[in-house]
Amino acid sequence: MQNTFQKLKESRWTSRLFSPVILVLLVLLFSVLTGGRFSNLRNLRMVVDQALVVATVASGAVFIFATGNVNISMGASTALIATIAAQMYVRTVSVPVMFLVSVVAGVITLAITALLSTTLKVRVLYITVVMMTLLASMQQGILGSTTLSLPYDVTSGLKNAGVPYILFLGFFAFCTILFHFTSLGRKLRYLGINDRCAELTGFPMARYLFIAFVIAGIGVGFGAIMTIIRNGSITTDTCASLNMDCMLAIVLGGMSCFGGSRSNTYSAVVGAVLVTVLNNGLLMIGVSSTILQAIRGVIFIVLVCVSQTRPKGLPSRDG
Amino acid sequence: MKQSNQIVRALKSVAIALALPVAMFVIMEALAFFTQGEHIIKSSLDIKNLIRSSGISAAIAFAWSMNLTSGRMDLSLGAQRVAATICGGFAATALGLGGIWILVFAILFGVLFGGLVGTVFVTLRIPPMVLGIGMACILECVGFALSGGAGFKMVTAAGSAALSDVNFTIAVVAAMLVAMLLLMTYTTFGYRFRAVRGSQFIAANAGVNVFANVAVCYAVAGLLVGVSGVLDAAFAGSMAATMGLTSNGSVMANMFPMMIGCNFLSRYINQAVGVVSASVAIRIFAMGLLVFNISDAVSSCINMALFIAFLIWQANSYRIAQYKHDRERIAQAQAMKKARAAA
Amino acid sequence: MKKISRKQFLSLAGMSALTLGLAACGSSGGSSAANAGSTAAASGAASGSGFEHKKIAIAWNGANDDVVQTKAHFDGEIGELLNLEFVHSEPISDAGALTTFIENSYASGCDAVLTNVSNAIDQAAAVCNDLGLYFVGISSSNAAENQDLPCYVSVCGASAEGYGDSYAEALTSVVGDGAEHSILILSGAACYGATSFIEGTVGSLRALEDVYGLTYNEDLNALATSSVQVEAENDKGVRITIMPGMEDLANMVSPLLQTGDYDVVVGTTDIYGSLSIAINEVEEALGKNINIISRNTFSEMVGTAFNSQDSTGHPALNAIVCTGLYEFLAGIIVLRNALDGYVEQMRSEDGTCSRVPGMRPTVITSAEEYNVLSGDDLPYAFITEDEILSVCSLLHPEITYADIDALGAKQTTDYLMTKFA
Repeated sequence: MQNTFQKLKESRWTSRLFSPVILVLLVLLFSVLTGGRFSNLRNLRMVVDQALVVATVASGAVFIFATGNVNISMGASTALIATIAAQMYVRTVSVPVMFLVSVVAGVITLAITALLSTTLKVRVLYITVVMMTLLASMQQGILGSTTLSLPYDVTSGLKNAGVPYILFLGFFAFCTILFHFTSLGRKLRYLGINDRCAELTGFPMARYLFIAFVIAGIGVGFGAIMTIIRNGSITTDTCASLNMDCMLAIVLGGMSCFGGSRSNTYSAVVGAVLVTVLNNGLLMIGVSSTILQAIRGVIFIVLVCVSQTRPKGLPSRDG
Repeated sequence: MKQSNQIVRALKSVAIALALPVAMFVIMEALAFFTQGEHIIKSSLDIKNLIRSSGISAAIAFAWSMNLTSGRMDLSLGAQRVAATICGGFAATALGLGGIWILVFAILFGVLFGGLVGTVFVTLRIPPMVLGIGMACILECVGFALSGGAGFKMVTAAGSAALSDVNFTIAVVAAMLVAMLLLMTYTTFGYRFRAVRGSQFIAANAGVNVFANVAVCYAVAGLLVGVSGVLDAAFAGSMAATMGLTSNGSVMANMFPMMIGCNFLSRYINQAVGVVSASVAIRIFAMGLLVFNISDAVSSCINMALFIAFLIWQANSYRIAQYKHDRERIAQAQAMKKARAAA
Repeated sequence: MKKISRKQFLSLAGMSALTLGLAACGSSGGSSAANAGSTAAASGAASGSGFEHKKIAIAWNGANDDVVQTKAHFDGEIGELLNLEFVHSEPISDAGALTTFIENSYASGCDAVLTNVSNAIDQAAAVCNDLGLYFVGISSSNAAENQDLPCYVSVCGASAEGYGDSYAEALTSVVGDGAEHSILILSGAACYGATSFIEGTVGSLRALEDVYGLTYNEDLNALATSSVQVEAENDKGVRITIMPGMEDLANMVSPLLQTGDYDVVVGTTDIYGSLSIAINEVEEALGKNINIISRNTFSEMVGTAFNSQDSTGHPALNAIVCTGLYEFLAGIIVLRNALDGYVEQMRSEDGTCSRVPGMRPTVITSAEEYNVLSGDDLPYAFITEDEILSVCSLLHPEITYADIDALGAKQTTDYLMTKFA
C-alpha cells in the first residue's frame, strides 16, 4: 500500500496534475457552496478574462523560471510597455502600430534586462529587483500627471473581437510548442536542473537566458496590449500587483521556482486561473475583501508545500 | 608594539568607515555648490534629519543582511515592518502605554512575525522568496484588518514626541550598531551564521543547528524592521496599512546600502559598521539630489542607475584585478625576453 | 520519505479544513449578511419606508480614517435606514483592479456599484453597463465618456470650483489678515494625475489669486501638476511655492521650511498627520510660527490639534478642508432611487448621466467650530435621517437628482453651525 502511494507520489503525472486537480476541485467546491452561481458560464468567462493578462505574462516568464532564475520585474515591464504602446496609439490612432510597438518594446526591455545580467555578470535576481523600480520610475516619468485613456469604442471593439483570447491562445501555443516540443525547452530545463553541467555540455547560460528573456518580452508585449484593452486607461498604478501575481501564478501552477524538469507552460495558466478562482469564489461565499488576501496567502503556502518535495536542507538558491 | 598596531588598525577602520560618507558629501556638496550655489546641509536640523533617516535606512539594511547575504530573499520584510509597527502601536496604546513602549511592543511583534516566517521556512522548506510572498499576503492583512485600513497614527499616541527626538534616534541607532556588531562578530550565533552562509551542509556536519540559526536570523530581521518602522512612523506621523503586496516598496530601496555595506565595505571594516556607513552615504546622496530640484521619477532613476553601476562594478571588479595581473605578467615576460636577448 | 508523506497528508488535511472552514465562514458570513439584511428589511418595514433589500459594492481608492468612518456609517445607520447591504473593496488604484472588483461583486450578487477611483469611472461605468449594474462615480469632473450608457446613473462629488472655494475659505482665514505671507503648497500626487490633489492645488492657487488680487505668469494646471518644485510667479511678488511628492514627505519638506521663507503650509492631503512633527521641529529651531492648512476629516488627532498650541503658542492646526461628507451619501441615495425604479429621474434630462456636485468640502477654521461640529455621531449626522428619506424616490416619487444636489449644497459650515450649535 505504502509502495503504491510512494510510486504514485513520485510519478511525474502526480506533480503535473496536482494543480489542475486542485483547480477543478475548487471550482466544484465553490459551485456547490454558491448553489451553482459560481459555475455559470458568464461567471466562468469573467474568471478567465481576469486571469488572461497574468496567464500571458507568466507563460513567457516560465522560460526564465525554467533556467532557475527569477524575474520579479515582469509587472513593471508590462506597465511601462503598456504606457509606451498606449501613448503610441494616442499619437498615431493606429491599432497595428500600437501592437507592433508593444511587442518590439517588450522584447527590447527584457533583452536589455538580460544583457545587463548575461554580459555584465550581475545576478538575474538583483538586476530584476533594480529594474522593477527603474522601469516603474521611467513609467512615472513618461506619464507625468496624465492618465492615458483609449476611446471606449476601440477597447470594447478589440475586446468584443476576442483579441485578448486570440493573443493569449496564440502566445500560449507558441510557448508550449517551443518549450515542450523543441530542443530549446529541453536545454532551458537542463540549465535549470544543473547549469554547470549544461554549460559543460555546450549550452551556455548567457545565450539561453537571453533567448528566454526575449520570449518573455513577447509575452510582456502581448500582456501590455491585453492590459490596455481590459483597463481602457493607463496610470502609474497600472499592473502594480503583476510583479508578484506572476510569481504567485507560476508557483501555484505547480512549477518549481528553481526551474528544471518540472517546468511547464501550463503552470502559468493554471496558477493564474487558480488565483482568480480563489478571489472570485471566496468573495461569492461572503468572505470579506479585507481577509481575502490573507486566505489567499495561507492557501498559497499550503499548496506550494503540498505540491513540492521538501528538501533535506534549506532551499536558498537565488532567494 | 602590538598595542600600537591595534590602534593603527582601529584608526584605519574609522577612516575607511568615514571615507564613503565623506567622499559622497564632498562630491554632492561640490556639485550642489558649483551648479546650484547651494549647500546640501544648511542647518543643524538637516543633520538631525540625516541621522534619523540614516538610522531608519540602516535598520532595514541590517534586516536585509540577515537573510539576503545567505541567498534568502525575504519578500515579507516590508509586511513584517508594517504589521509589527501597527500591532506594536495598538498594543501599547490599548494598555495605556506610550512613548518607548510603542518601540518595545513593535520589537516584540517584529520578533514574533519574523520568527514565525523563519519557523515556517525551516519547517516547510519552501523557497524563501515564495514563502515571503505568501507570508506578506498574510501579514499585510494583519496590519490592515487591525487598523481598519487606517494604519497607526503615531501623532496621537502618548509620548510619541520622545520617539522622534533625534537624541533618542541616535541612541537607538548606536544600540543597534553595537548589538549587530557584537552579535555578528563575537557571538556563537554570528560564527554559526557565517558557517551556514558558507555552506549549510558543512555547517550541519560540523554540528551547527542550521534550522535554528536560520529561524533566529528571520526573528532578528523582524526585530530590526520593527525598530525602523517605529522610527519612521515617529517622524512621518503614522504607519500606513498597505495591501496588494505593496509593502515591500519602502524596504526595497534599502537593499542598496546593504549591498555596499555587506559586499564591499565588509572587505575592509566590520560589516555592521559598513552597513551604517553605506546608509549614511546613500542618504547624503539623496539629500544632495534634493538640491537639484528633480522629480521623484528622475531621482529614483538616478538611484537605480547608481545601484546597477555598483552591481556591475562588483561583479566585474575581479576583471580589473585580472587585467592588472596579466599586464604585470606580460611586462615581466617582456622584460625577461629583453634581458635574454641582451644576454 | 514517510515523513514527507505525513507532511503532505497533514498539509492536505489542513487545507481541506481551511477550505471547509472558509466555506463555513462564508456561509456564516452570508447568513449574517442575510440576517443583517433581514434586520434592515424589518427596520425598513418598521419605519414604513418599505425599501427592498439591495446590495451595493463600493470600490475605495484608499484606506484612511475617513474611509473607516464612512464604511462604519454605511454599514450601520445608512444600511439600516435604506435596507442596503454593502460590499467594500480593499484599496484600489487602477482600472484593471476596479474591473475585477466589479465583476466579482456582480458574481456575489451586488445590484449597483459606487466608486471614487476617479481616474477610471468612465471605464467602470461601461463594465457595469455590460453587467447590468447601476453605477455612480465619485469625481470632481464630469463624465468624459460613456455618459449615455443606461446604467451610468450619475457622477457625484464636489466640483473643482467647490474645492477651490473651500481652499479659498481656509486660506483666507489664515492669510486674509493683511500681513505678508509666504505660502508653500504641497501638491502631493497631483504630478501623477490624481484629480483630488490637482483640484486642491488649483483651488489654493485660485484662492490666493482672489485674496491678493494677483495674476500668475503660468497656467494654474501646469503649476499644480509640476513634477518638480516650482515657484508660482505672480505680478504681486507674493512668494508661493508648489512642492510635489508623497514619499518621504517629512525629509523633503523640512529643508525647505528651514529656510525660514514660509509661514503657511497648505496640504492637499493629511499633512497634519504626516508633517506636524517636522514642522514643529522647524518652528522650535527658528522660533517662528508656521500655519498649517490640511485636508482631514473629524478624528481624535484633528480634535487634539485644534485644541492645542504649537511650540510658538499658536494653534497647532489652523484650518482643515474636510471632504467626502456628502458625496458618498449622495451616491448611495442616487443608487437607492435607481434601484427602486426611478433611474430616469436620477439621470439628466438629456438622457445622459447626471452630475451631483452637492456639498462642497466643509471648512473648519477654529477650535470652536470644530468642537461644535464634532459631537456624537457627527459629522455623519450632518445630514439627518429625515433629510435622507426626504430625497428618496420611493417615498417621494417626484424627487430628481437636482433635489439630492440641493440637499447637499445647503450644508455649508455656517448652516451646519446654526443647525448644531
